[in-house]
Amino acid sequence: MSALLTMEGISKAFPGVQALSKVDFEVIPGEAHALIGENGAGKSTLIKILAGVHRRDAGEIRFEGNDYRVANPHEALAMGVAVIYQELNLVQKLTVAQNIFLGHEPLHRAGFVATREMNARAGEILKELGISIDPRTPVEALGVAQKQMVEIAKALSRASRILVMDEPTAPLTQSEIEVLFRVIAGLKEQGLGIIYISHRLDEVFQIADRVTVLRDGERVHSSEVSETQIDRLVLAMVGRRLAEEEPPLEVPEDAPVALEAEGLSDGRVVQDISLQVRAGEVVGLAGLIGSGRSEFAHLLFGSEAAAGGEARLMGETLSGGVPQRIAAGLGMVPEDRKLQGLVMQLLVKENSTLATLDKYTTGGFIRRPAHESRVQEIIAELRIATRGPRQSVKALSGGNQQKVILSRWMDTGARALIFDEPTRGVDVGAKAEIYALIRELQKRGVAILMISSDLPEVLRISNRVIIIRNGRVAGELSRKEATQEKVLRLMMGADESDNGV
Amino acid sequence: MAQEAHASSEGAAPAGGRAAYSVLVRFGPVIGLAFLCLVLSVTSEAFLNPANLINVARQVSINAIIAAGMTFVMISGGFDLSVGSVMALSGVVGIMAMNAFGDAAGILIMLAVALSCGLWNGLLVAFARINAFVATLAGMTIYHGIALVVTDSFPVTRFGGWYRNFGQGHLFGLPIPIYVLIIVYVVAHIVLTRTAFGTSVYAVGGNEEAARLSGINVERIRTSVFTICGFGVGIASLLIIGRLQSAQANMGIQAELDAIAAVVIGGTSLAGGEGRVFGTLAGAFTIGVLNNGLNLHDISAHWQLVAKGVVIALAVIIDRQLVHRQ
Repeated sequence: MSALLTMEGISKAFPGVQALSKVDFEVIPGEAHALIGENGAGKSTLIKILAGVHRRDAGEIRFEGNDYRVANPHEALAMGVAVIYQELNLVQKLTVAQNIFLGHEPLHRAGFVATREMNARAGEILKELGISIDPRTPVEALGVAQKQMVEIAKALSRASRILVMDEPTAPLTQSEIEVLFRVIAGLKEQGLGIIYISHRLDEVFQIADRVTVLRDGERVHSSEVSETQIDRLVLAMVGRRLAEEEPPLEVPEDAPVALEAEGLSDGRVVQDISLQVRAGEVVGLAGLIGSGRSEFAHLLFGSEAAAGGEARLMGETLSGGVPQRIAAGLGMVPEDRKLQGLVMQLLVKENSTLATLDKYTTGGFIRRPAHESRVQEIIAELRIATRGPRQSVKALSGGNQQKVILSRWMDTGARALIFDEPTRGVDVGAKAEIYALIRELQKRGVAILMISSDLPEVLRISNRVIIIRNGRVAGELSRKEATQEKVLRLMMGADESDNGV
Repeated sequence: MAQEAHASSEGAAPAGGRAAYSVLVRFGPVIGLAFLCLVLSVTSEAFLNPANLINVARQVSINAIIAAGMTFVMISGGFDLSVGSVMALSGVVGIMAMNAFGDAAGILIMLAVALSCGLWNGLLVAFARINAFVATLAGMTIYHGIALVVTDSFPVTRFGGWYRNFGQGHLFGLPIPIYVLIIVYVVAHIVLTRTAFGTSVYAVGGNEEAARLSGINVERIRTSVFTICGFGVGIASLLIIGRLQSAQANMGIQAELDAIAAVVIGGTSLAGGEGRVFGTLAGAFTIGVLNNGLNLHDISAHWQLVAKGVVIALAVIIDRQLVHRQ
């Protein structure tokens, strides 16, 4: 069958990173083509080029036989390419029908919105999908799975030919996933092309016809799903780095417990989490988005108030908010570098000492020479690629920005650190350096709790993996026991009966 | 420090063009002011007359001092609409207190009143988490109302007393308000660029969450900037009542607009996280010089309003363009 979409030789560079190099990708009508790869492999960049968010540096795209050039997401949508991002793009206060027809509402002759017609047409689309949602319901009243259906309906209302789904099952329960897969199968029958991005390899085998693996911006594997196996895909995803990796340092038998949570809950997402991290140990915290992992991190760090339970550091109960816990020797590298980590308007020196500015002041005044020379030391120690303490953090690459945040906790002399997605969106080289830094911290006896949705990463650097599901500890695996499959099974809930959402 | 953030963001290649833009962004307000002065010095003989320039500086000092405090608030990502009312309230209380307790005690009381108004604004914004626009809008009417209540809407006067020197006095041939202006700006600049507190103000305005997760006491910083702003207004009010030897509840109306205009023309981002007090000073002088120039050319006060508005819009458009190119 002739291709619906052909992407050939797509390349794209960002400052400091070659995000994509000469990637080919194709979708034919009626197929689901899975796009997989580790975080930072280039999946999102490829999709964003297709969606008109980024411009390609090189390469050709043909869509339904014609040259495809779009300057923005709006044009892509008009051409027939709809993308459903993980963070759904719906207007919470509007109704389902209003969302579905947002920007192309059916109108009366006088120019007013034909609400009745709109509701009726929205109802038809939803019915075709086999979904029973009243089109007049406000979107905010819907659950995640239903919202996703509204997004799909939105794409169908635009007569889209290609539907891109970015990790659609991440927030869904097993029964919701089954509904989604049924809908996807129906869309395939209608001749739509589906681009399906996922971390979960088992899903690829369930729903996709073809699979393409990206690694470090290159296409490393592409085949019919029926002609490959999970192991081959995993190998393609992680590549030869599997062979290079060093095992994490052994934790001494007598290492004391440094960081401890006992029955922590926030009364909403985090139900009851207890765990211990010993000095010099890396504990990986795995869980799906929405499982409560990040919320738990904030409870530990004191940036959110706990409803119950207790956190301890070196045996001392942690009380108070963030400043008290930093003083006690705890630090956190937050999930979103730009939103929670850095102050983009400030310089490297200020960002790297944001938690310790008082150390460099006399009577409130910053001792500039002392401050800058200390920052210079930090830069050298962490090998931060910057022109100096006075460079703006804006100009640094993602990996170096991450190191700047990390350097804050080197400077406080933290005894325990919480990492939330430490390598998201950083290139391979910087990743390796961050791993090396984690080892270095480990050697110094720092206790590390690392949250990551990058499973190979969790398995690679953790001494132990604790799996969180629905705000509770679902299991714990030692480094020897932990395999991708076992962790995934615990993350998703091997026993469906307790997955009562 | 933060004022270097602009200059040093040329980071990656091609550095030359970016450096030029960053210099333009940094000195834009000053360049604009210099250009305005150049035009006026050509078109009007009276403009460069020292007496005229000193007069402009004296007039500008009131707004500039208020705007210095406003710069703190706006760098932290806030906004203060109540400065005009704080000026009126502290002014009338100041005159009444001086009449009752003498100059020194009266001045202390008026500064305390202004500071308390700012503190209250700050507490509302930081702890009650009320939007700064709404909190200070409420403050604006409350303080104005209290000023009307305590004066029964009549002007209050105090003829004589050394406090008048703050408005009318001279030292080495220059009006006292100019010295006060210089002191306020030097202190404000040092606090913002050389202290941990100043850095924290930039951090809170630039990324509140990052600041919080770094252990910065965001609430304390927010409260402090509003308090500083209130205190600055108290100083400005002292300069005004010293000159007028009176105060009334309706003085200071729209002072917030001139102050915010000066800060914005001076290149401080409304979104917070960047800005410099000396930019604000250039902004305040731009407004003052513009008014003076239009006066010298016999252009009506009504047109002066229009011109001020145009300059504000232009300043922001140019700043946006330059930052964007950068």
